[in-house]
Amino acid sequence: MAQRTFSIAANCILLFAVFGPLVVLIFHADQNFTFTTADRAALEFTLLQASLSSLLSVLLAWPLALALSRRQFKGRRLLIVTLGVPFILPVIVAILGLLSVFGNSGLLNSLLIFFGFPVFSVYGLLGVLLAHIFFNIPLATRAFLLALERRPTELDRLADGLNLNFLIRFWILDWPIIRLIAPQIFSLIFVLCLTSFAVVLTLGGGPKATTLELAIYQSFRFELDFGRAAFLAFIQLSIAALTCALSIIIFGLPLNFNRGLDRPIHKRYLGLGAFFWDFSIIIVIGLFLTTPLISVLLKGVQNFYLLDATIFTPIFNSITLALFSALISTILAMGFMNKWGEVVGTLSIAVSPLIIGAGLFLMVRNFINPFEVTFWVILTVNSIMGLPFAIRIVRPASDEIISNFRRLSIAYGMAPYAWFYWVYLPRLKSALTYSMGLIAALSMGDLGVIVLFGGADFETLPLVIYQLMSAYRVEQSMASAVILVLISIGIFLIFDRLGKTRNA
Amino acid sequence: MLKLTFAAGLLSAGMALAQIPTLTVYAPDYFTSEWGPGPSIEAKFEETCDCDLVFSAGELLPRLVLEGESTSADVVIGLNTDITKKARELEIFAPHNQDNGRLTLPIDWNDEIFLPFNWSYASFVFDTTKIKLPSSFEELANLPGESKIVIQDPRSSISGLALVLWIKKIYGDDAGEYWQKLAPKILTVTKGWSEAYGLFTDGEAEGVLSFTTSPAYHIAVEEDKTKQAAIFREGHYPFFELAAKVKSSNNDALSSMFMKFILSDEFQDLIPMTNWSYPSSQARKKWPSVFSDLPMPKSTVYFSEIEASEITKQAIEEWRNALSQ
Amino acid sequence: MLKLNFSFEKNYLVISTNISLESNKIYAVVGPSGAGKSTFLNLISGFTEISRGYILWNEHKISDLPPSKRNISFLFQDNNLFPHLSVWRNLALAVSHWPKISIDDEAKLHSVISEVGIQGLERRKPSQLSGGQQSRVALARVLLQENKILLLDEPFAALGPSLKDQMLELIEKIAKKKGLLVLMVTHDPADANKIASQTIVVKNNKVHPPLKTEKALDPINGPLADYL
Repeated sequence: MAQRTFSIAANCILLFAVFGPLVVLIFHADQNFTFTTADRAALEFTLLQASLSSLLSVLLAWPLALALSRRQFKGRRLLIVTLGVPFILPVIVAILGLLSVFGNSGLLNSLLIFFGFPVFSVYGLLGVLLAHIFFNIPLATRAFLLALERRPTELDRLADGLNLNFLIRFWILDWPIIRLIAPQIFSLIFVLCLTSFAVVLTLGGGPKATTLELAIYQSFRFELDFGRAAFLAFIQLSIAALTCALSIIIFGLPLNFNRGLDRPIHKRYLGLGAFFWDFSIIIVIGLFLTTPLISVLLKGVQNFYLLDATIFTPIFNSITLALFSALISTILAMGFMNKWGEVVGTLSIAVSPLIIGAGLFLMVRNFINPFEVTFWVILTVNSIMGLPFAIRIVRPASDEIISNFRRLSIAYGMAPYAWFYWVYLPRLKSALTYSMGLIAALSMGDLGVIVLFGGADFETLPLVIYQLMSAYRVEQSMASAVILVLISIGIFLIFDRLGKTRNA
Repeated sequence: MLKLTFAAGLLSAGMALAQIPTLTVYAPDYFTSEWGPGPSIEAKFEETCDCDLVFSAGELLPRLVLEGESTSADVVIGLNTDITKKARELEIFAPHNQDNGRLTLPIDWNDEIFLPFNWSYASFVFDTTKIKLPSSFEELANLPGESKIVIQDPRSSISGLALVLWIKKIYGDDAGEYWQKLAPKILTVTKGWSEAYGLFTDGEAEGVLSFTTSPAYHIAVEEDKTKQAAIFREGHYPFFELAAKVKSSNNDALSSMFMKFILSDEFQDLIPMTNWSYPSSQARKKWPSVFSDLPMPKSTVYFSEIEASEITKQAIEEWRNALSQ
Repeated sequence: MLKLNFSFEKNYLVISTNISLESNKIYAVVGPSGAGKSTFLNLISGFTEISRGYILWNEHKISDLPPSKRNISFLFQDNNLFPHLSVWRNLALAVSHWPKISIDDEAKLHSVISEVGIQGLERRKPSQLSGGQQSRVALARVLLQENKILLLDEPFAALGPSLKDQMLELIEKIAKKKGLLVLMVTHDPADANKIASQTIVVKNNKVHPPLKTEKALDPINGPLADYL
């Protein structure tokens, strides 16, 4: 009962904060529903790059997740955490990092030249896909990994006992899980790529690689045509909604299965072939994902001496913002613990922060001037941006707990408070802390709505990085980016550790 | 006795505080950052104004449009010429009442509303250790070997737009054709100046669309003379940054004081080394030597505001078509 | 006396019944796969709602009460314990939902613990116990709840035959001592024969009145002759 009320409340908040602004903006300004040929081209390209990126990310992620789930090795935990870093980097830093490895004067080309191979140009659709999978494979991998690890270890022992070989195990144990999770991940990544702008343009090599987001940005900032910006944003949102809905209709919703007794991860006995396969994948994809990051880190670290004490305030601000967003996001996510909740939650990232900011402004300006409460606005938007991730992490765990233990709790005659205290929250703890850690890390690097609202009164690290770049100080910018990365990883690890004391 | 003095002290302090007026200035993020001109300007102005200057950062025009009459801005600084026409139509600004004759710009400035506070020329900056500076657009399109340049997108970047207008002014109806010739030399197009310049300094491209004043930073701060701006025979397109008074502000005295301050030497002195551009109201001989020593274009090519508004859409389309082949 | 007079339809499952069961008796519930034995138990316990009819316990209507208020204890097929809580806490929750429990309750816990024979295991978590020990803990929980009706849905299916027998004997002992009405779903006729004097057959959408176990399980003439 309480769950339902909370659910409704959460949905309302989302509607108000995300879709509300969009609607308000459309009706406020002069309506402009023109859709030019250039827009058509942009739309087509947007769809193309988003679908391909998602597809590739998913396809590459599950062998990696599989490999990781089967192997235990030193630094595994760190690798998994590091994998998530590209996502939180400010876009400009990530672009530079990627290009330092894959660009014309990057590492890869230097190697190719050295061995006498022709130079390879990353600019074009390939570059866009590369960048997107760079950002999103970690996300997809983690999702798969979570699902795979949730499978009861008893099944693995059973497979061992039956001496099932590698391929059969895959077919019976792993594939069903992958098949069910893949569409969800696909939708999430699709939506993320949908609103991607700077990355696509720079790595796409030119105006052929224009997305709808660019058109929105242009309308909003340059032409001051809010109506058109909102209209395009609405189209973007509709596409996202359609994709999510389609993937649910076609593939159905993921089930939950699991009745394990919390036994620890089980070491499996697979053949030598599997061993080589797994480790090759881990190494190849791992290298692809970590080299750009390492390049960024190296560049930044050697410029540490350029930093001064003025960076402490932005650091403090960013951390505060991150922690609060994480908390709110995770709590809010508990209101979306059902099938459609997941869809709705995902859609929250399909609306451009510019639109949300402007629309929110219009909605509340009679009561308060959002520009004076920058912190709260950014907090709101960040929390909402974190929703899809929180939901994806918390919901499966929540469903599992309910399906396994609700009946027993009823048998004990537990009132809701007792259920929460003794069973639900304790068992949800690791999912909750994981969600908070992830969102806090994400929130550290988010530039989002600060673009519109500026930060004279509230400076965050990503803003500082951008400001430094604008003032020619590229090295200092990189150094600050490294600080950002280190703090984000640190936060994530702390939360992870907090959640680890889960069971036996 | 003590209590009375204490209370009196508090009272006068309170009154003093109440008496210090605030001047709210809207500016872009890069301006208010500690590496931008904002802090020095604030400090300098507060020396003489008996007031508290408060910057508020964010996207200038969208914000003003949204806020409308209820905006708390007294002055807006950091606007660019591409949106002046729209801004003017919004009728939110008041005349600046300053003497345009005092400006030292390469063109005649007649605008009563927008006051330039600094300027520069668009130009390509090259790494001279890798490539010889081209001296015309033709040479640019014929850069040797595999050399490439990075430019910004005119739809999302002011400097990108400046380039498109620049080429349009020089080539007129043949602009599209020129773009096609230049296209193979363009490595990529970025959203804004920062990304492009980052790519350049990383060595991804040998040249980047930037400003004639960019090398000043490298010379002054990094003592690096290898990054130089190419000066083209055909002339360069200027780029102005503007300030304006907000009509609905009730702080008229202070705003006027600030606008006057902009043209003063105290303000103009601060500009070169904090914003890396030419001061708008100062003779060249007064500039820091690193600026006056920079190579200057011989001529200026420019579209007036009306001309620009008429030609921009078409120019961008030509650009887009040529590069989308 | 437990009076069951109800019917239930959902999806493709239909069950109806009109029978009376007596205290101090152990009933086996048997029937072909999919006939609805578990559902029958769920209907009595309240985890599933009946479509029409009523359930009376000693003339009180319990069919509109939540499961924990029906004076019924149940042992499921699995998930009988909270894996993340200690044995002690699992049992304590049966008497109080507050972190601290009274001296009296503590004494109750200790007594039940020795009754089922799990002394020394209080601090352990269920995953650290063997199957048999887990079953005993679950049974201890049931004892603590002090309900008069006990429903078993094959809770010992995963144990080996001898362990299962031990548990069944324990059930029989406790049932006799406390005068419980026990309903036990089972697939194994041997279980029924062992401790159930009467057997309820669930077949063809109907829950039949209890028969003497030997009759019910008669492989030649009994109602389940086709299946045995």
